[in-house]
Amino acid sequence: MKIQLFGNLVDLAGKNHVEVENQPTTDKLIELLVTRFPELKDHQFLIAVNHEVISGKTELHPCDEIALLPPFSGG
Amino acid sequence: MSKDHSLFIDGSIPPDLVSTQIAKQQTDLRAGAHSIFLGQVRNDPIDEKRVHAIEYTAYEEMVLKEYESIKEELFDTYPLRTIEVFHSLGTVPAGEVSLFVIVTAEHRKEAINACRDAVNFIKKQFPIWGRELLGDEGYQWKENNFDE
Repeated sequence: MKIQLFGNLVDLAGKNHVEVENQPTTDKLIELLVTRFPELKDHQFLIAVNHEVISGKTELHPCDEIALLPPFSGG
Repeated sequence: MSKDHSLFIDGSIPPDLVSTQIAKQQTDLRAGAHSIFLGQVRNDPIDEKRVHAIEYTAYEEMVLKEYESIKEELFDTYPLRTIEVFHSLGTVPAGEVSLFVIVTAEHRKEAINACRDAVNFIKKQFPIWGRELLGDEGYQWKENNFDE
């Protein structure tokens, strides 16, 4: 699955998206991303699934659009 | 609800967009008040340096969804005629405008209150990020202060 990254998370990963093997839940996904990018633990971010910010453990499907969103700073 | 423009502007918001939007409302004879907010890039000091420009990126599909949601909420809360929001993407130099909100109502109270609510919502809920460019000396990610 493709995870879109924004803001300072693009700096952390060196690109605006990462590809990972399909994960069943957001918890598993974050666990996997932290092993790949340990500094992610020190970053604040929300998880959006299909353009909705989710809270708590959420089930994922291979075709879901997933994005990690650091604190917003528009305006 | 108006869907006749794209919310995103490439680079700075040109000042004449403000007059164009005011002119557009002249056909609405029930409109009695416009409240306008313009957000301009400041050359804030950062350590020994200054912000020369802000480079904006957005999760565009999600911003458009949030835009529909704030319009719906504001039309439910206040008797409004129209709401229009424009936000820059890409680089906006200090001194130029990156956010333009215009709310039109029959009376000033609802126009002013809805415009304030819209700006607060945009700052808090729109997935947009600003990278403050410090000339040749690097950058830092902007942080929004929700009270200022």
